[in-house]
Amino acid sequence: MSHKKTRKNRTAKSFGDITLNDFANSSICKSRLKKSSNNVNEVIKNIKEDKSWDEKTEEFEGDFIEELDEDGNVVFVIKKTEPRRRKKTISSCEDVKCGIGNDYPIDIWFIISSYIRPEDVGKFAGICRASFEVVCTAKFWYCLYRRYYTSVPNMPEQLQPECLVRKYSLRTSVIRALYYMYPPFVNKIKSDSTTMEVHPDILCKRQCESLWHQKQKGQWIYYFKMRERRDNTLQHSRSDFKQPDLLEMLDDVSANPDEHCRVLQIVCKHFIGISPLLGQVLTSASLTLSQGFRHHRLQLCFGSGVQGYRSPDGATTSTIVLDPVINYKVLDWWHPLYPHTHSMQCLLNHE
Amino acid sequence: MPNIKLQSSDGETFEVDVEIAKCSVTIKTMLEDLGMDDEEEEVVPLPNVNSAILRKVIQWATYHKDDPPPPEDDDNKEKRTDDISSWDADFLKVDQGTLFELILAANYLDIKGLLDVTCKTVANMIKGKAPEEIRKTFNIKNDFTASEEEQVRKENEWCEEK
Repeated sequence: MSHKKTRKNRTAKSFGDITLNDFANSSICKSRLKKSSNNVNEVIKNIKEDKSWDEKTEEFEGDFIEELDEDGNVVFVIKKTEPRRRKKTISSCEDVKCGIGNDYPIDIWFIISSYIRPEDVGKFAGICRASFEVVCTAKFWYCLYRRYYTSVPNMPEQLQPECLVRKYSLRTSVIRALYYMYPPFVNKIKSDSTTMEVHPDILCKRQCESLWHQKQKGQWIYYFKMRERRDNTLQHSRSDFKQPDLLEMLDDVSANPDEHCRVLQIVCKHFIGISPLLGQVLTSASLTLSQGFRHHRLQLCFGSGVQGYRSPDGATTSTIVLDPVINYKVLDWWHPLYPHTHSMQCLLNHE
Repeated sequence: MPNIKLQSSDGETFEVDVEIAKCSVTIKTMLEDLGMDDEEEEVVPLPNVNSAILRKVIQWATYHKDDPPPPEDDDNKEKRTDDISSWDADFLKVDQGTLFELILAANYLDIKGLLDVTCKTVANMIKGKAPEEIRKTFNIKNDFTASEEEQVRKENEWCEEK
């Protein structure tokens, strides 16, 4: 009986009192220091750890849990929960899972960037945020330009070193210049320039941004500027929501009004009247042989890009037939033949 | 030959020939500015270089001690990356972490020859590899989101090899 009583007492005590076992297992030394522990740093560390009771309560990560002992009495036992810190490491482990590895300082990427070939710029930028940031700097583009500059007869004046002084749209200018002076890129353009290599249906789902034509050597050249429709374009430096500051804009190295644009250049034998297409989306393009089998016939179908939409006249699509087509090219914005403007006013208005 | 003591960030001291140590412009300038005499038993602290890397740097500098001074860096010239000597290539057969630390050390110590050869090695390892492969090769953390990665790829279509 007495035995039971003592047990009862002990269980009641277990709620709040510290047992000899708890004391012995305490991580904080309460007794005087051992003679062996004469390390000053250790002593200071122990002193620092000594916190007031309320601080310790806040840090305590345990729960009082009701349990039944052998005799069926309710006992409160302190169950140490897994520290919150542990949980954090698990979640941080999960975060790291998508990006395990080293995080090198941006300086290293700056140093390496001056050894990167133009064809490796994209891969270099795609390594990590730090390497991407390096590729967004004016210094990177000036260096790349200077390293690969050679005087070429057909390079436009605005891409010459004396004109390449402003930061605005520097990246675009350097890339365009590389397609005049960097042999691997020049050769790439040459091999691409084989007429009618790319089918115009590659431009499907793009929106017609502008359309113009010109007469040259008795032939009519039509230009369709087609922009890729993008829902969310991440900006390099500016937020979409605030009105950009002019000075900020002038420092925008990566500005490129022609980014995501391609121009379909079609050379026709005769003049062909084309109905207004601005804002319409190319839905299909078919290329067949023209009568006489000497030239081609190009049929372009444009739609509103909105499903179920009908224009006031009831038509859902506009079809354009260009016949006879002597030649056509799909030009990327970096192609030397891509028609673009270098007027600052024009570029800023576009922005 | 007078010697100099170089102390790494982890406290290890290396006794090196002064002339070899002077291939580092940082050390050379330090000795000149502080007026340290060759006979003095001063220790030069290098808090940005650990002992493992400093040992490699000294090894490289000792091998190249009789090399002519490297030409002035010409920013207006394309940098060749295919002119690494076989000794340097063997010397740089190290893990990616050591290679990157050697670049940082060469930059801090201002040893142009070592900086050049280490960067060329990295540039060669990047050549023709996709970003994912590069990250794998150098054990670099991918801190892009999937959409950002796609955006970077799209923005750089201009240099994609077809």
